[in-house]
Amino acid sequence: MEAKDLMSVTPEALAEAILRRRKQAANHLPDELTKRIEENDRAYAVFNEAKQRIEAIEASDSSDDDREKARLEFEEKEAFRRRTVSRLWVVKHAIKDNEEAIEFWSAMADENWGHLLENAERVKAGGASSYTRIGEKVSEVKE
Amino acid sequence: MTSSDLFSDLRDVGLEELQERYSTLLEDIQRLEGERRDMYVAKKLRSEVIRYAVNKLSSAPTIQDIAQKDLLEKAVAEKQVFDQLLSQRDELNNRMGVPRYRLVSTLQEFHSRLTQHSHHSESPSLASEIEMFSRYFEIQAMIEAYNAHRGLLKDVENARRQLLETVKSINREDRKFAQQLAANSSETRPMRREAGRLRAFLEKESKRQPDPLPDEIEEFSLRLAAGDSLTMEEFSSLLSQGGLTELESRESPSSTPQKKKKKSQRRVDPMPGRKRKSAKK
Repeated sequence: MEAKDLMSVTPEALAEAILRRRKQAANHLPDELTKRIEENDRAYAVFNEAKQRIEAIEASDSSDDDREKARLEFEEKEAFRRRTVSRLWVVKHAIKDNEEAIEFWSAMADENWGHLLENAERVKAGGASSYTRIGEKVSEVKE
Repeated sequence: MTSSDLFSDLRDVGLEELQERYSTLLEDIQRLEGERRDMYVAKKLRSEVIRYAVNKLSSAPTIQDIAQKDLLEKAVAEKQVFDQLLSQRDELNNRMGVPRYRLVSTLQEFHSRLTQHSHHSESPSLASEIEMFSRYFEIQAMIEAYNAHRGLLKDVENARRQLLETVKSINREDRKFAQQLAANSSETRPMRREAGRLRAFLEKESKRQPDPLPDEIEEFSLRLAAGDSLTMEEFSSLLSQGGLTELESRESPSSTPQKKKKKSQRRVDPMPGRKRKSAKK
């Protein structure tokens, strides 16, 4: 997008574009959640298998090599399980965030943008930008 | 060259004429020195104006009534305009805190992140969206402020160029000025030398004429030399004019011949030189 076009974007248009993207995400996030749940189930299954195996090997008179192989396999399955749990939580969080965002941006247009345009209004009125104000605060803290 | 050779051309000229020539010469030297002094004042002022123009002097020098002061006044005025524009520009930059070129790229980045679909793990959170949304319109306002002052940046650049040209002109004038100073110096030097020569000659001539004794004293001396007696008044007058010592000094040349002063003979044999110390250790 050209700079000229970016300058003509209004708050309504931008909020609408955000909502569009959020709704698009809301369409495919449930599928993503399903995939991640399946992946997590698989990860738990292989993790449980590896756990049972290592318990059995430790109870028997197996050689050190066998014990080492079983330990490495268990650690690998455990790492995979942890990754799938993390990915599942990311999707769950994305779904929650998406729902809140849709609610927020739908309501914000009706509430006349609240404090979102305060900085822009201050700059238009000849005041300092938030970048300058943050810089000044940092300087004050350093002093 | 002996002193007699130095003054040979002056001996045939009358003392009054020499005195007049000397006075005229002094007047000319004073006039040239005055011009030279003015030139130095102007030179210093030019230097100060240039230093002020290039920010090495904080306050503008006072322009005195000197030659080519228009150029200096122009430089000072242009510097003041330039400073004023600079402070306006700096005020705007301080108010914005971010240069314009960075604002445009940030605006593009924010718009893309807020509107373009991306993987859910990379898409911004609601909190980030709110922050970017607010900044987006603030940046729009900042760019508009920069655009409103775009003429200011052009004005700053024009003022800078104009000032630079004026400083160059002053520098060019300075070179001419240096030539004038050198000409003044070379014009004054022989005049000073001639004035010195005239003064030395006139001083020498004024010392040559001793004060003659009054006639009366001359007469007393002659009478005393002849063995006559003097009254008390005549004797008192003689004492007040130098007394009997003067009388003796007049008689002495015939009775006691002057001893010749021995000239100190200077050896001109070759002398052994000092040993040079070696620079290497």
